[in-house]
Order: sequence, then C-alpha cells, then structure tokens
Amino acid sequence: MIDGIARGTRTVAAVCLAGALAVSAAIRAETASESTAGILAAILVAGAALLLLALTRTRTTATIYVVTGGAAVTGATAVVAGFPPVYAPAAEYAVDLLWVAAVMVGGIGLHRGSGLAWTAAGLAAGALGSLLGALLAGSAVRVGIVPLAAAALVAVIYVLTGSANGRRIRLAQPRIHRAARDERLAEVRSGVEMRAAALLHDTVLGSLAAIANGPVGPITEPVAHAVERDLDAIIGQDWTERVEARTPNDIVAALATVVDDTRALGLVVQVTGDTEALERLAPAAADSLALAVRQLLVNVHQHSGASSAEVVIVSYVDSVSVMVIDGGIGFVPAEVPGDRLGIRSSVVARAEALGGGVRIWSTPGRGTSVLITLPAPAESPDPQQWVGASRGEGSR
Amino acid sequence: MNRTSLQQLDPIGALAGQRLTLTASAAVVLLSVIACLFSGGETDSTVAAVLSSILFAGAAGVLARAVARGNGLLGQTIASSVLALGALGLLAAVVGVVGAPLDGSQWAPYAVAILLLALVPYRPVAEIVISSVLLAVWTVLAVTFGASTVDEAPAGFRQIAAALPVLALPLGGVAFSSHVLQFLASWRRTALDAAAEEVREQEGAITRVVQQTRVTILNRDVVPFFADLAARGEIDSGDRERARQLAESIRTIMVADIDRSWLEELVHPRDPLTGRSAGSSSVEDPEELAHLMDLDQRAALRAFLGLLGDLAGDHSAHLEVALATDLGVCEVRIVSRLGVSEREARSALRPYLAVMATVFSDIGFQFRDNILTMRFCYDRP
Repeated sequence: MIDGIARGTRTVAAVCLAGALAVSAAIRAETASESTAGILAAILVAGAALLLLALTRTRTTATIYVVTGGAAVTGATAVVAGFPPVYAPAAEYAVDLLWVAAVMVGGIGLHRGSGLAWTAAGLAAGALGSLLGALLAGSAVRVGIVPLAAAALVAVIYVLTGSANGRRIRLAQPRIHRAARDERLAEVRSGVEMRAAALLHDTVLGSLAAIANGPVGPITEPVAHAVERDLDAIIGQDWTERVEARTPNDIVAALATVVDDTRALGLVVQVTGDTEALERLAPAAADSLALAVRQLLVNVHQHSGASSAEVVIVSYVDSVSVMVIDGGIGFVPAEVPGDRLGIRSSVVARAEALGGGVRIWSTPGRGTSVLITLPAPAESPDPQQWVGASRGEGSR
Repeated sequence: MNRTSLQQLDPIGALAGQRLTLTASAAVVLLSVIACLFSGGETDSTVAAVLSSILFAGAAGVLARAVARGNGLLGQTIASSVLALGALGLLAAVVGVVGAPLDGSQWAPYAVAILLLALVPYRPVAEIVISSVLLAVWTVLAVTFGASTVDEAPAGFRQIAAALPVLALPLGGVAFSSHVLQFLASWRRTALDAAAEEVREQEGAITRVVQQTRVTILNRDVVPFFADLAARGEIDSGDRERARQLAESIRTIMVADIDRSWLEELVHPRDPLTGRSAGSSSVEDPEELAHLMDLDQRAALRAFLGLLGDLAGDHSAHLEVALATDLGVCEVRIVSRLGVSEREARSALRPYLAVMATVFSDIGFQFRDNILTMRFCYDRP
C-alpha cells in the first residue's frame, strides 16, 4: 500500500512537470524570450531526476531528486522575476508546479514515516529553492500555496491509509482466509463422502438386499462371493488409492466386465455405438462410468420388468455419452422416494463429481432411458497418465 | 484487471481506506464553502458560488453516504452521479464566479480532482482514466467559455491550469490502484495455489477419516452379521429380517448424509458416529438453494456465520437461517441472537459485511433488542 502511494505521487510529479513544460512552452511561443529556456532547462533536469528515481528507488536517487527539485525551483524563480508582469502568473504557476513535483517524491521503502519524511524534504527543498531564487533575483519571496496544499494532501493520505482504527479489519482478514480454506476442505470432504455413499450402496446395501430378498437355506455362491468382496472392499481397501493402471483397451474391457456381470443375472444386454470413444476418458472417469452403468443395468434387472437393455455409446467433440435404454414398465422420476439412492448416489453423484451430468426420460408403460454425459478431451489422454494414476498421483 | 476495482479484489483494504474517502468528501465541501465566502460582492457571482457549493456538497454527500454505509459495492450509477454533480458544480463556479479574490476556475477543478481521487478505490482503473479525460475536456470547455477577469497570458494558460489537477490527481490514484491491484492479483494466485496444494495434501487424510467413521459404524453391526452368516453357511428367516433392518438403517443414515447441505453441516454440525447434532440453531432450505452458492459465496458466508457464533456469547440457540427464492433470485434471511452491544456488533461486522458485499447483493440488516436480522440475495444460476 505505501509503495503504491509512492508510485501515485511520482505519477502526479510527472504530470506536474508536463504541465510546467506546457505552460513554459506557451510563454515561449508568445514572448520568444530566451529567459524561458531557463525554466525549460529546469523542468528537463527535474524530469531526468524523476525518471532516475522511478527506475531505481534508493535513498541516493531520492536525495538527488529532492536536491535537483530544489535547484530547479531556485533557477526557475530567479528567471521568472525577469518576465513581463503580464506573464508573471503563468510563470509563477510553472515554478509552483516544479515545487509540487519536488514534494511528490514519494517514500523509499514500506514505512509510512519514510513517505512523510521525504514529502517534508521535498517541500523544504522547494521552499529553500524559492527563497534562494528570490534572493538571487532581488525579488519578493513567494509563499507557495499550491505546494503547501499538495504536501498536506500527501500527508493526509499517508496518515489515513491503513491507520490504527483498521485493527478489527486486519484481524478479520486471516479469519476470512481460513474460512475460504475450510470451505475448500469441506468441498473435498463432501466429494469423499459422496464416493463413500456410492461405494456403500453398490456393495453392502446390494448384498444386504440380496440376503433379505433371497431364499432361506444354504448361502448361494454369488451371495457368499458378494459378502466376501464387500468385507474386503470396506475394511481391507485403502480408499485413498487411485484407480489401477489401465490402458485404453482396459477401459473398454471394464465396461465389458460390467455388462457380462449383468448378463449373468439373466439380463440380455446389447452394446452399440462408438466403444472406442471410451478411450478418451481418464481412468477415474472410466471407472465411475462403468460403476454407474452397472447400477443402471441392476436397476433394469430389479425394477423394470424388462429382460433386455441396450447400452449406446456416443462420442462428441468434448464429451462422451452413454445411454442405457430399456423397454420396461417405466416410472415417474419425480415420484421416486427420497430414500432410494441407486440413481442419486451411484449414478448422478458420480457423474456430477466428474463435471458431467445425467438426464432421465421415463414414462410408465413406455420404458426408461438414462443418459450419462462426461467431459472428455478431443484426443485420448497421454498413456503416461495411466501410470501416474496407478501411483495415486494427479487430482480428482 | 482494468475492469476490477480495489474494492472488489480487496474489500477489507477498501474498507480501511473509508476514512480517507470521507475526509476527501469533507474537503470538497470545505473548499466549496470557503470559495463561496470569497466569491466577491457581485450578485451573479454569489448566486453562482452558492449553487456551485450546493452541487459540490451534493456530490460529496452522495459519495460519503455510499461509502459510509459499507454494505455494497459502489456502483457505476453512484459514481456517475457524483461526477455529474461535480461537473455541474464546476460549470457553475467557472462560468459564474468571476473576479477577485477567488476565481471559479482556480478552485473548482481541484474539487473535481478530489472527487475523482476519492472514487479510485471503488471503481475500475479504466473508468477513472476515462472519467478524468472527459472531465478535463469539460473543464477546458467551461473555462474557455466562462467569463473571467484574469489576464489571459499566455493563450491557453487558464485551460492548462484548470485541466492539470483534474488529470494529475486521478492519474496518481490510477497508478496507486494499478500497483496495488497487480500485487493483490499476484498474491491471490500464490494463495490459491498454496490452498489448492494444502487441499491436495489433506485429501488423503480426509478420505481416511471418512473411511474410518464408516467402517466403525459397519463394524458395529454389519461385519458381525456377515461373519456369522459366512460361518454358518446358511440363511434363515431371521437373517433375512436382520438384513432388511440393517439395510434400512444404513440407507436412513446415507440419505440423511446426502440430503444434508453444507450450510446445515456448518450451522449445526453432526457427530458422524452418533448422527446427532449439537446446538439447536436451524436452517430452513426446502428448495436446496444453499447448493447454488459458488465457492466465494460459501466462504464469505462461512466466515460471517463464524463471527456470529463468536458474538452470540452464551446463547447456544443463536442462529436461524432461512433460504427462499423469488423470480430467479435467492434470498437468505439470518436471525442471530447476540451477546454484545449493537455498537460492538456493528464494529465487528463491518469487515465481514464488506466481503459479503462483493459476493452477494441487496444486503440489509437491522438490530433490535440484541437480535440481528440480516437479508441478502444471490442470483439463481
């Protein structure tokens, strides 16, 4: 902030020197007096010192600037005394602008006190210059109202900017930053909880439903396998692991596995469309898509009354879509009870977590179509990404 | 960068500069009043001086009121009103106030320059530059066509002297603002990168915590049930009923988790193991509008509610939050019982309200009997 004020004051100095130049040039154009050369020279020297200060802000260059400014005021004051009276106001105004430019030296460093001290030094240098110039010319000493006002303005700005009453304000700043960080962490946590919910739904809830709805008697092989798999998935697996290393062909194979598992339940599944488009998906997206499609096919098997389903894969410029279609009994999406999680957590949540979306079309008696769309780059991702993914690298 | 103001990028910093803006407003009024007193004995000059003072006082008043309220971004309408009043005040002064000891063209440009300088923290850099140039042109025209008894030598001197402060002060302000904006943008990039890195580092720990709470819940009931089934190798009717009960229980917890919004979790956090919430603050959000807030809005509201918690003192049931929608706009209403005086609360809330004002609109609040009622809006995407 203090550094910014210094830059601002030096900009004002530059504009003031430009103004002084314009006034002096106007006087010279009318009078053709050689005396104006003195003022022009003083302005140019002050301008050079200002440029040096702007490029290299040190105590040395600031001192040079202040001293140069005072000298410029001296020279200009001495010269102005010899002007015709009609040009005196304009000439004195040009001297005032040189003086204001000296006041606008700005601070060196980040302390308010430095800025105030250098401003006072510029004012004093100009005052001394005005006095010396008047003495040299034998004229009356002028009181520079405009430079005084300029110095007062700069002092007020330095004093009031970030003053002590900002304590409560400064204490609020870190708290607000912590809130922003906490919000990001909460977002991450929400995503993890969504994935956990989807995982639980696909595993434990599915197995419990199979046991609750299955026949009394010896445990069947599929149920025993599911229970063992669930125990391993929930307790044994490290949920921080990323997906396994996959090649593009493995992604297609993963979907094929899902379809085969569903066929084992007795559902006829036909896969059509551009299966190669799946290679454009990142490993995490491909896995989520496979799990979501599995849930949709399980829904077809369990709820639609249909004996077959179609999985259609479509490729777009910046996305890949998979649609699961059945000719079953259909349903009214708005009437699905709030405690049914199959679509919400295992399909919609997965798609939305990857920046995609889900659309559902269903009418009672006319079957159901569910469209999952996931963003995908135009080209297949770099194969190196598969290796990186296996090491747990990369972002979600 | 040219379209962002300091207030938008650093609302707390702009708040810290509020006293400077109010001082500038007072300076403009003082300058115009003093000039009015020294306008000379001519009637025309006196009327013009009074009119000019009224116009400048009006400009300063509009600016001071907008800044002092501190509960919204200073918009283009207000900024344009301030500058329009200032421009008219300058015209009245330059054209009408002639003669010794104080010519209108000598002081009015400084008043306009101070108004422009006072707007620097609140408006984009490009807008300040354009306004300065336009007002400098306006000043030159006013001075050119205004009557004056000041000797005009050399030609063009009055115009240069009048336009210079209107350009110099705002351009100085622009240099200050540009420097600070650049610094803030760089700092923000660094801070965001650091925050993203921290989030990535913490994600593993968060996942382990979430997994552990779920496993703890499952270990209580599901794992023993599965282990028993695996050992016996058969399912009886009791097992089917037990499976149904467990599924229902897990489903209920999962639905409650999924249905629970970030705002509900913030206002009354739930113990993940027991499922019970502490405190009796409430969130009413039937249309699930809390999900529609973006990250900046959620962060600002999180910080604000955290402060309300501090100000609540011993009141445990201190907070009610309600969200509703109307014509595509979401409205949030917060009622909070405070344990501090109104004065103390206003002082503590100021920086948070400044931040809220950059991400929400139509912020309004009132205090009554130690109860703060606040409303603000955001667009429904």
